[in-house]
Amino acid sequence: MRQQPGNNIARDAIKAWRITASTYMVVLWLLIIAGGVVTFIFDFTYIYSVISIIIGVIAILIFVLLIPKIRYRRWRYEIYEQEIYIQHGILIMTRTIIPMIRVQHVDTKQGPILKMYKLATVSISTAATTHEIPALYEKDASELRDRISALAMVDEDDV
Amino acid sequence: MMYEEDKQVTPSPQRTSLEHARRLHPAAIFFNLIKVLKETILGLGVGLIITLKESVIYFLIFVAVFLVLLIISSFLSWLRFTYRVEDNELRIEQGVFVRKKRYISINRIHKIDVTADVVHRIFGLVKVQIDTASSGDGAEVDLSAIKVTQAARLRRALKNNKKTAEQTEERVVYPKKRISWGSLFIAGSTSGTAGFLLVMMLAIFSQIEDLIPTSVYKSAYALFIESGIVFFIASVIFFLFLLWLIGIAGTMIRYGRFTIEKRENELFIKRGLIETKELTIPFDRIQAIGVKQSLIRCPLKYVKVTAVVAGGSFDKQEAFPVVFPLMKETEVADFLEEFLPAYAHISPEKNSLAKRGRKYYLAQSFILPAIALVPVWIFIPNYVWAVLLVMAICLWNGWVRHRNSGYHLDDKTITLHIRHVFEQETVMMYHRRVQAMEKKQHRLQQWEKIATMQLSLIGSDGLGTHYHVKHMEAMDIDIIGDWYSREKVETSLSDKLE
Repeated sequence: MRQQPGNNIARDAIKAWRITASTYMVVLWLLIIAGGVVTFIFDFTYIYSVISIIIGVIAILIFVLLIPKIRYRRWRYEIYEQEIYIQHGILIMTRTIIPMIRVQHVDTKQGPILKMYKLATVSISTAATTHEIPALYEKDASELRDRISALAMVDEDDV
Repeated sequence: MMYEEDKQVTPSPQRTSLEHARRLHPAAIFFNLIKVLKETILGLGVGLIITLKESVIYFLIFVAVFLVLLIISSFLSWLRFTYRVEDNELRIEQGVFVRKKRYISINRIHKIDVTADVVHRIFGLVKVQIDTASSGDGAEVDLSAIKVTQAARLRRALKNNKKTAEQTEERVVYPKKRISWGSLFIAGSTSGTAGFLLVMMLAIFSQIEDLIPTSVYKSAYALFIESGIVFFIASVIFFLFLLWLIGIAGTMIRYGRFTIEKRENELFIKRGLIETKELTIPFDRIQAIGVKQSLIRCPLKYVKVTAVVAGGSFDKQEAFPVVFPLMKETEVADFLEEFLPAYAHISPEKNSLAKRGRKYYLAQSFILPAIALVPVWIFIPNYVWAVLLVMAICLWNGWVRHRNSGYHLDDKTITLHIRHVFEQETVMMYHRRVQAMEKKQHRLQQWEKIATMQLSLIGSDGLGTHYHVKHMEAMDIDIIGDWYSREKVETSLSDKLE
């Protein structure tokens, strides 16, 4: 587990993740606004509304602005002839080695937000684990999928 | 192919009888009935109780109709279920309305397990479960009741094909080991089921507490006052003794007459006092071998040997099949040498964890009692000592967990020493069995150059078996990483980056 892997994932991942996080924030802010309206109608103390607005702002700063960026910066992968090497994690950094001959199948998938930026997720399964590389450009993702499955076929000794 | 030739040369009468489609023994109807009843009784029970409250007659009609339908369907499915061995295949046909045919090539069959419970024994029957390599829950083919002789024939027909050369039933003497009643007794008395049963009973009691009439409480209380504290203590001791005996009986029934036999390609295990179970573990499906020592057995130096097997065992209560239930720590090496020579050099030595990691172990075991301490201190200060005692035990446990964990690396194998809360586990696996390796580090660990390692193996249930060693020296994980990596790139890569 030497140096970190060489390749970054697609830079547009940050935008895609920000949109995903924003949808959650919309829900959060709807709740905050609803709380504010209730407070206004029933004449409760405003302190709770103020606190919830502060929390909402902080949540936007953290989950929309900060985390996608750090996540992108941490996410790295490298595909060798014999193995796949992945690094990710915001608070807990994880590095994983998956030998090619242990790979059972490789999938790519794409939700509506990823599709907007022409991105896709590659997931790699062994007999015991599943690993995901999120947000590669479509072209890279399918190329990677084909390459991994081609390499994975080479040697198939007993389980 | 070979099989066909054989048949022409020596058309053994046994085989021709297997080629006819056969039904299971009629007792299978009964077993099916019981099985369906077992599965539906919970769901039905609620409905039944409600109808019983409404009207007794409807209740009886409902039960009668249900039973009649059940018997008819069990009978029909028995009638329509046949098996035969033909053209190198085990052919099963079943289904009342929708016919289902399942043909399994004999070459693909990995395991044939034969079990017999009490009812089976009365009729001279066995249950045969046949499994192929495909993972998934339970057995591929489940013959719930066939005659013992027929089972033996079937087993031979399905096995013979693999070793065509030696048709002439040579009586090879396989290495065999049987558990003695003495060690079985020790296994039972140290199994810790007493504690488990106690908790279970308390749980059950707390559920049915309301149902017990107060008069029972009153009379019990009166009895207690009358006979005094000595009687009370005596009865508590007696009760615990009883639980202990139940634990021994449970182990005896489960592992009684435990015999392990090493055959050509597999381990063959036979066990059980009331219900005989036969288990085969093919060598090439073994992912790792573990030596486990529970807390109670620690001072006695007794251990249990288990295996991690792809596809698992048919025994649902036992995720990792027990290879031998109890032996002296000193016997392990010889045992493995004889039965699992590939795992004989399982190492008692280990590279310990980094000293820097100890505080995390201590903190982890400290945190729960520390949280409990606050409310106890506020609301029932008289019991603070109890929490402090628990805290001390937890701290000690954390200290031991740190001390007793580690790893040992060999050319082709890695042995992990992992101390769980109640158990010391030493597990040995081959390089090629490890599906993936992971190194995890949070900020503090990064700063202190320690990390957590995870090795993943194929498990019994399709989810995988994952072994963690927490707070190791980060450098050690890098060494293991280089050992694990098939791509020896570490130098060239670091050259590139520096």
